[in-house]
Amino acid sequence: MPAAIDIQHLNFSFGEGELRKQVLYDVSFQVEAGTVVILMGPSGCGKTTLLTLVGGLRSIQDGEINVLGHDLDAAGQKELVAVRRHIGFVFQLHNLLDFLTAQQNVEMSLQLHPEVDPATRRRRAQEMLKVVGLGERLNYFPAALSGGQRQRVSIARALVAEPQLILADEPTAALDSTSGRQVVELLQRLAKEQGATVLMVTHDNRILDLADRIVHMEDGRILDAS
Amino acid sequence: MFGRDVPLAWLQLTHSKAKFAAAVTGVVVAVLLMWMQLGFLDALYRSATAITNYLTGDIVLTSPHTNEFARPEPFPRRLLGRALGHPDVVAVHPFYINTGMWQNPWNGVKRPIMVFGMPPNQPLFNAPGISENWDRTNVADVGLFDEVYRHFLGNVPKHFRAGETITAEINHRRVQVVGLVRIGVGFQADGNFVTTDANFLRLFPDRDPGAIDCGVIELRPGADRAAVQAILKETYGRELKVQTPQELIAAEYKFLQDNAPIGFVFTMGVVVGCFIGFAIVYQVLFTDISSHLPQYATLKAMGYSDGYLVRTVLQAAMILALCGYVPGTILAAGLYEIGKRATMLPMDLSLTRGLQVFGLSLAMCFLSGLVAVRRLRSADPAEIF
Repeated sequence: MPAAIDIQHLNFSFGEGELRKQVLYDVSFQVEAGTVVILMGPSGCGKTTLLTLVGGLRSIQDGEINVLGHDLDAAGQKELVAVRRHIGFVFQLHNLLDFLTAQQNVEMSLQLHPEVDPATRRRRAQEMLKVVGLGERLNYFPAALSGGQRQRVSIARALVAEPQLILADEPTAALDSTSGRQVVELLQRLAKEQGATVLMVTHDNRILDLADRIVHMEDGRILDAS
Repeated sequence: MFGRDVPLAWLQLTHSKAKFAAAVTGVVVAVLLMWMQLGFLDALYRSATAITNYLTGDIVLTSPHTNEFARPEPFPRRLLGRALGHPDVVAVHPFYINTGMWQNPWNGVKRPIMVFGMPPNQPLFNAPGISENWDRTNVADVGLFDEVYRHFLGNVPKHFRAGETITAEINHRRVQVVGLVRIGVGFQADGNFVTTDANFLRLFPDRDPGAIDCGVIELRPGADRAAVQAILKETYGRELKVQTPQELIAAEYKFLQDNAPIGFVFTMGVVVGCFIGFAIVYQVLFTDISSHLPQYATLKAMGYSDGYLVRTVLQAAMILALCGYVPGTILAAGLYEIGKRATMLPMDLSLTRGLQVFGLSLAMCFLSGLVAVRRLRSADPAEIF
């Protein structure tokens, strides 16, 4: 079974000329489909940059990344945007739209898939929110939800379209330990149910047991790709 | 709810009622300004040509220096004779126009009034009230008073209808009102007084009796007006302008558009209105985008195209245009009524102007949106990590 993510000899730098700073050095590793992988490392080690490259949010400069069968290094803007629709993103700051209800926020994710008709979208959004435990809060605005609840809406949004890959950046950083753990447990459980792959960047030592594999990074290099 | 996409533009705009109200108010102000300025501008044109609209002649002769019918340049009466040489011309009637000083009979206040003088056998225009009252004017020092007037002249219509004898002074000469007509008042004077040529000359004694302001030509029924006009144009060359009443009106419109400072002032008013609307809508859209940049970036990360976000911003601009246009127009209708009563100028909502104002509002909001969209470029999905 091909890897969900295959990174080969990736180098990346920020800035130009004299201010050019390299942040990734010859990074290579694969993530098996259906696994939960945590990427760890001190601040500034390049893990978040790596995540943005895997998600097609930045253009690749040097190296290859194959995500869900797509070669991102050879892809143009339009193709990158198209690939992103098959990835679920969970951010540290949920970034829910404050003028949409929980249900509407989740629907926005399904709207990217025109094959799903509006009535089905609404139904699936409602079901997803029930699954994450927010069935009573469908019409609440984010301002009326707690941090943990907002993050759960964010997970519902990321997962409702049943993406093959989920990229999460510090999903627990803004939450207390209990909510944080609950949120990641939920993410892991749903991902397993959908057979999706999860690549998560985190500092949080308390959730490491939920991963199938841990990859360490330091100063732009992979320390061990076990 | 609806079987449609999440209406992002609408929900974002209306999430904060206060901000939405502020934005809509901005558009309302712009729409109102545009209606009022365009309305006054149109009133200027229409009132300037009020009497010309009622002229009964086929061709009108004026001095080449006459640009506004209400402020004509006199020309020698004998020039009219040439037109009589044409077989299709039945008659050529002289027409006198000038602005006199009317003294309010009740409070003595002096105000300008337009005076029209025509041959006693032939009223040259068919405004309401002329035909039934014209015979009464063939007496010394009398005339017909226009009941579309500004109140400064004194409430002549009311007192006249009550059966009172109304005498007043025009240019220090006593005249009596013997009937009412209905023409229309402009920017030049506060009312109109219609009388015979003889009475006119008594009111303006300094006027050369051999100089008239306008010649109205009556053609034989069935005559080819265009052909006659062409011949008369050759006959008169550069001495007189030979126009149909419609051409006269169109020429005066153009003159006012190009030259009258007041026209410029009103046009500037429209521009200012547009600018206000543009500025307020831009401000609202810009700050809305700025405060939602991370969320917009998230949408981009999720896979929404730049085009989608641009469309959302433009939709928001259009919604503001629509939501401001309707109340703005309703308010304008009210202000038109007030304006009409205060100035006696012809001010009416018209479909054409409604479409003009709508078009301007849409364009102003759309442009505003286009410029605000540039702020979206800062929504970089890679930076929200």
